Amino acid sequence: MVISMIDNSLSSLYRRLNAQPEGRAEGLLDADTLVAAAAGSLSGDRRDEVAARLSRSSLQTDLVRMLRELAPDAETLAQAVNERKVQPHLRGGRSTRHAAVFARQRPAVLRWSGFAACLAVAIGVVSWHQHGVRSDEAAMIAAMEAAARPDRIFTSNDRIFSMKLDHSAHASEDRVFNSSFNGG
Amino acid sequence: MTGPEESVEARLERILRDFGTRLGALLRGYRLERHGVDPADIEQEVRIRLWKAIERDRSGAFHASYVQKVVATTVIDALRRAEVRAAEPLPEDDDEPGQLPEDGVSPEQSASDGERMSGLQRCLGEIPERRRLPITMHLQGFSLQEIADVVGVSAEAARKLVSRGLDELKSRLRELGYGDFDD
Repeated sequence: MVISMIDNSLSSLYRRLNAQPEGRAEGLLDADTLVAAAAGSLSGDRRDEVAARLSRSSLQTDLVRMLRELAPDAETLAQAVNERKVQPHLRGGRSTRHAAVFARQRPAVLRWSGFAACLAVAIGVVSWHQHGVRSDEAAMIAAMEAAARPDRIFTSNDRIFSMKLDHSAHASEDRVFNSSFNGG
Repeated sequence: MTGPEESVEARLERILRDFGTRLGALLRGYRLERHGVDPADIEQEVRIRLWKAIERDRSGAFHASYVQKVVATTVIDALRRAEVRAAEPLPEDDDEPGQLPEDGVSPEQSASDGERMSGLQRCLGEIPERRRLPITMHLQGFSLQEIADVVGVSAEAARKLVSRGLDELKSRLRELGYGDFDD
């Protein structure tokens, strides 16, 4: 308690000592340095210089202390911003991943599709060829069979042009012209 | 499917609004209006700058240090504008507190303070810088942890440096006849 009272008195005197018009903004540290001082992340070679300047400026002291108090709120805000970014990013990420997987699988699919198509063509050609051979054989057999069969048009069995006329049949059946044609 | 996005947006807006409110309270708490800046203006400008930054950069990670930097930059810019305004001739405005010292000081006290300030300055000058910085930072209002973070020592080391330094300072002031600061 005694230290606190003495400290307060000395503090008041010290602040008045440094309350001379030093220029508000021109003597200010830059924003990065103020933030680093508030976060305790100053580089080692700058600590003494920054500490000296802060200890002479009530304004910069206020700024650094204020930034320090604001740090948890800044963290909360940054998290909220990053959460908002994550959502569309995730969706895009998923589609990208799917696209990448598909792209990786696609050559394999194309390979197998091509192979299947070639196989189908080969089978088709072979079967077509065999069918053609069979057709030729069938045609030949049919021709032979046709040759072996009696000609129905020019054969002697032809009823119209056949040379083997059955006179007896005509004679017996033709009753109208029978006598005339038979020389009767 | 905009439900979740809307809730995230609404949450972000609420947090940004809360952040602005908190910043305004801190600016007023630290009485930055003494330096010619308007806490409400800074609060609004920080929110606008942050919102623009959020909208502009949707890909990279958003760091808390960036938020802090936006605040610091906005305050520094406001202070620079205030300095320019202060340099210009002002209309009559007796109600403004202006740039008076933070405490009202009588002429007698001022004369006495002058001597004591000289004594304090002299005594502080006798202390090596490495040991002097924690003392002056403490006198300026930094907490022990804040001193430790800036100077780069542990909080316990900062406490010892401040305690011993203050004892030494008071003893030296007493020796030089600048009075007892106990009173």
